[in-house]
Amino acid sequence: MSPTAVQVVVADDDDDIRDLVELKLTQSGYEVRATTNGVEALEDIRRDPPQLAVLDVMMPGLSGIDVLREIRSDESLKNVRVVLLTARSRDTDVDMGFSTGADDYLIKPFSPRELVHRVAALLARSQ
Amino acid sequence: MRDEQPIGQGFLDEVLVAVIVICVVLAGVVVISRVGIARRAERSRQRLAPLRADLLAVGAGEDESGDARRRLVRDRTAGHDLDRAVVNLLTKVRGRPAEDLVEVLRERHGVASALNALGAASSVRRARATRILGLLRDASHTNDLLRMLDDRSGEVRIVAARAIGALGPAAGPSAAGAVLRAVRSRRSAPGVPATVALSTLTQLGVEAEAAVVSGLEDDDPGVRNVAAGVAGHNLFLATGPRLAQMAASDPDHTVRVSATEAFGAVGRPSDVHVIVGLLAPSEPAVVRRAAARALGELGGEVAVAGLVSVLGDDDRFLATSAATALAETEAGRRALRDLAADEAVAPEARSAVTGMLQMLDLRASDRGVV
Repeated sequence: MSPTAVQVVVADDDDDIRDLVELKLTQSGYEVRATTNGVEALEDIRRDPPQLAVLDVMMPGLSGIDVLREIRSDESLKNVRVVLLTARSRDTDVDMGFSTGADDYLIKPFSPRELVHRVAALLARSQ
Repeated sequence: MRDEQPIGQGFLDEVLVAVIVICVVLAGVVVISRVGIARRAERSRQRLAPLRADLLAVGAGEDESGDARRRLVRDRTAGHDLDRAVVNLLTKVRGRPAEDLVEVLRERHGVASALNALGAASSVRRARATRILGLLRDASHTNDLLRMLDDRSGEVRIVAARAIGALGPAAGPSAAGAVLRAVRSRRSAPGVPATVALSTLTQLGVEAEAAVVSGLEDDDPGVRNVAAGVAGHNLFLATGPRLAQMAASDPDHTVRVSATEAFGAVGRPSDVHVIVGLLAPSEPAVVRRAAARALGELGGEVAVAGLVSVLGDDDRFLATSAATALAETEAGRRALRDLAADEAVAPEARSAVTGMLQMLDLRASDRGVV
């Protein structure tokens, strides 16, 4: 599948991570909309649902888990795939992410190349 | 009895003025300090702005030609700000981008500076340099990091232990032994905290096994405690018999708890009676609760029977731990449902059973929503 025109929302309050993910996904052909917190991310996702969202878990305002919960409880957003990108690496954190409805879970420090592969695989599976 | 002198209004006024002046001065110091920090951050941002695109290209693995890396190496305008930015990025990425960032740091002499700073008078500088060496994930610096495990500052020792963990199995078995020894208190200073040592040794994987086997025999209960935790986490099956002994009779209760939980991870189903024996009312409460958790890990009919036997225990925490452990396996969940349907079950046991079944229903409905 060509990534052209695939919309991705990236939400992370860490400038470096947000810019890295935005650059890597943009270079791979995705259209990226980046935000710095969960509230803005959720507003953006509701206004114009993307195919995929990459969410940090620990963000000011709404956490990535809160945003994910809102997405999963909204029928109109059922096709939005969600990747959690977080430093929280304990088994209980991963369990919480997947049980809330995450499609994938990536732990920081992360490999930008792996992120792109996972995003592509996830979008291909959801075709 | 001595006559008490009345405190004059003038004295109280002077004290009040003094307190107000001190508060104003402190507030001024805080404001000036924050303004200073903000200005330094802004200056740093301005110096780094022309290099931001190159930093991101290297950090994202989008520098196929190596041009961005070369520009970062050659730059002489951003100085230590650039070195710090590279180190910051190193904490966030791994794989090829991390290797390229290490190369930038090395060619800018950042690594040589860090090695020099290991002997600095300031413990903050030593800790920062130690952290940088860990971020390089280069086993050739293992001996430098091992040396920092003996640093006079507890903070530096903790950073060194974490940095050794970042090296992973490449740090080797001697590093595992050194980390375990660093748990011991020395010269009245506390050793490396158990949680830090546990995390580091877990990251060393199979390379930690020899040190763990030896640590289980150590005189220091802190060392035995960490060794037992790692044995369980890294599934060092050969430690099973020793863990069973420690669970039953170590003189330190904390060690008994760690050994019991570790035995739950590495023990065989045929060993389950050892843990069931630790549920006896004569055992310390913390050991009984650990035994309940371990039985949840081991599973099997004998484990289920043992857990069911303490559901009505006076120690309600133990009863809840047992119900939680039962909920972990299919056989345990079946036992919970059978008990809920049995009218002869004592009221104390029934409350633990119904509480856990309600919890299971709640979890199932949560999954249904998702």
